[in-house]
Formats: sequence, C-alpha cells, structure tokens
Amino acid sequence: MYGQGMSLRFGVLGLLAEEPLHGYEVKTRFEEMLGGTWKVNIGSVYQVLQRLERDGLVEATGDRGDRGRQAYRATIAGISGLNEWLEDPDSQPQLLREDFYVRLLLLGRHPNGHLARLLDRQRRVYLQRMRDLADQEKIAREDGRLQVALLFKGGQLHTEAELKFLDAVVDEMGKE
Amino acid sequence: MGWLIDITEVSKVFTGGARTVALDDVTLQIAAGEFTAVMGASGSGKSTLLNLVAGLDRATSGRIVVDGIDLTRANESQLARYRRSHVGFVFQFFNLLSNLTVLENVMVPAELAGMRSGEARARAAELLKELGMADVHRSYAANLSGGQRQRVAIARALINRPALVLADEPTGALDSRSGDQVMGLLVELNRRGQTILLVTHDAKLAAGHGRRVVTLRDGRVHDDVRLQPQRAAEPAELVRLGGDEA
Repeated sequence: MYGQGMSLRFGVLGLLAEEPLHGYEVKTRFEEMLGGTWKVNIGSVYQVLQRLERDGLVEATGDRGDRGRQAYRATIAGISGLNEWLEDPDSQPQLLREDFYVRLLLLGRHPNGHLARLLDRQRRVYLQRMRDLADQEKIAREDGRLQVALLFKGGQLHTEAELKFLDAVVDEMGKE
Repeated sequence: MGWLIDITEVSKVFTGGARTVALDDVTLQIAAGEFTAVMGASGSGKSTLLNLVAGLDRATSGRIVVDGIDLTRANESQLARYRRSHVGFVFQFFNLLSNLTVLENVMVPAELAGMRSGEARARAAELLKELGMADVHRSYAANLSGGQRQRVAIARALINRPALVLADEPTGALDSRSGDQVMGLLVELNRRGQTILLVTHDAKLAAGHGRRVVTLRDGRVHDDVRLQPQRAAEPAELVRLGGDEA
C-alpha cells in the first residue's frame, strides 16, 4: 500500500497514539493538523480504523460515548509500528502532474504556436499560485502555525520547480 | 498618465568583443506606488535594465524617464544627482561601509545630497527605529547578521525619501527566514506608498511579493502580469496532500 492510503493510516494511528478519539474526532483533528489541505471522508476514517483494529494496531477503549460512538486508542504494537514508519525516509516515485505532461507530449507534435501559448498560460497559473501560497504561508505564520506555514513554503518550492521546468521546456522546444 | 518609470523602445547593445544585444526594444511603464518584480534568468537582461533605470549605464537607443528626469538625455552630473536623490538602492551584498557605524552608514547618502548633519542624524535614527534597528546605532556593520545588515541598507536607501527603491536580489545572501523578513519589510514600505522595483531570478520572491511580475527573456519583455493578492482561497485549492479528488 503506497502514498495517500499509508499516510492516512499512520496519520490516524499517530493521533490515536496521543489520546483515545472517536471516529469523527479523528477526522476533524486530522484535517486540522494538515491545515485544511486534506479533506477526508468520514467513511474512509472508519475504514482505516477497522483495518488498524484488525491488524492489532489500535483497540476500542471499551466505553461508548454518549451517542454510542466508539473511541479507539493505539496499542503497543501500534506505537512501535508508528515509530518505525516515522523513521522511514520517503522513497515513493516523484509525483508529476499528468495532465500537463500529456498536453505537453501532444502539443510537442503540433506547430510551435500552441506549445508557446500553453507554456505562457501555465506560467501565469504558477505565478498566481506562488502568490496565493505566499499569502497562506504568511497567514499561517501570523497564526503561530509553523508546520502549516512550512507546508505552504514547500508548495512554493515545488511551484518554483514547475516554473523552472517550463523554462527548460522553452529552452529546448519552444523558442519562438 | 504620468508614469514614475517610463521606458520606451529601449535597446542596449554591448560591443566589446562579440556584439551582444542585452536589451532589445523594451517598453515598460510603471506607476508610482507599484511593487513590480522584474524576473529573468541570468542573461535575460534584467541587470542591464536595472543599471539603466538606476542611471548607472546608458541605453544604446530609446528613452527612459524616471521621476520626470530623462535619463537618456541627462549629463553625468545630472545622473549623479538623480542617483543620490531620486533612487534608493538595496543590493544583494548590502554594500555597507565596515569602518562606519550603522547610524553613519545610513547618513552617508543624506550628507552626499547636502542634508545638514543634524537633520541627517535625526532622520537616520528615526528610520532605524522604524525598521526595528534602534538598538544597534553604534554597532559596526561587520558585527551584524546578514538580515540586520540588509535592514540597515534599506534604511540607507530610504534616507533621501527616494521616489523609487531599486532592490537587486535583496535576499540573495540571506537565509530563508531573514530573507522573508526583509521582503516583508519591502512589502510594508510599498503598502505605505513606496514604489519598489525588485530585480530577481527567484520566482518565489517575484511572485510571492510583487504585485506585478515582468518576465524578461533574451532581452525582451516576455510577460507582464498583475497578480491577485490575498485571494480568499481554500488551502486545499492550493496544496493537496490527499483526500478525495475534486
């Protein structure tokens, strides 16, 4: 299991290692922790909880809340599994935007005019995104949320890489 | 419309050795109060453009008028006066004088422009206070951090109340946090009405802080875009770590 599924699984496990939580609390805390960059479906949270329980990484605390909701906590095995995951460097394949690359590949077969237009439009989108991310980073810093600020900084650095990539495409394919 | 910077069909050709067209028919107008970033890779012409607007070099052809002064027709002494009184400079490597105190560094351009020493001292002290540097008046530049040095350089750039502040890679020698603080300061100055022209290769600086981003490529204006600041965007519309596809 790769990527998103794993980080949701360990994100949930990490929250339950802090204190017992109900499914809905897990959902809101998870979204809060990620600064609104990940909206998670409550159904996916319950699915993850069930799998974690099946694998012996979390357990029901036994007592049901006032609305009959079940709270979960991490087991010893869960905490050691979490620690192992936290120490693992991320070695997944680089994620690239498939839409843009497929357009690029197709436009590369057409006359240059189309390619230049795509590149210019894409560039403007990235420049505006850079501004939006910088604004969000500033807001997060003003709110004292350093980790979320760093997330937006990461977004800016990735956007910078995309812009550099566009320049490379222009240099190699798109000189008007 | 009266532009603060009015560049019309400007070219700059260097002829020493191989003939190089550094700027090729550039037309660009900038209004007072704008925060414009000129962005480009090395060799795009951005440094040449900066030098022309700064009055440090002359165009081969075309016309450049800044703050009502035609730089393409000004003589050397008029250009020197222009550089002293109409433009404030912020450089990548600060260019502070190491044998002068912080306060003295900030006073230098004022005294060169003929401001009385007492007045220059008072204004320098006031600026340093505004920039959060009141406690280092008597320090020597060599004893300051990079971020502090750049703030001193910004105070120096402002002392003659220039119509235009030119910032050339102002964060290039700073760590990421100090760089952000220096940029925050420039943004704040602009919010109070100061016209700023930032020249950088760094898209994070240009688009993250400038209101308008002009991209030079091969000596020409390739793009000129106004960015929307403070759009009320949902974080998930900007960065998505995961979740259901929109």
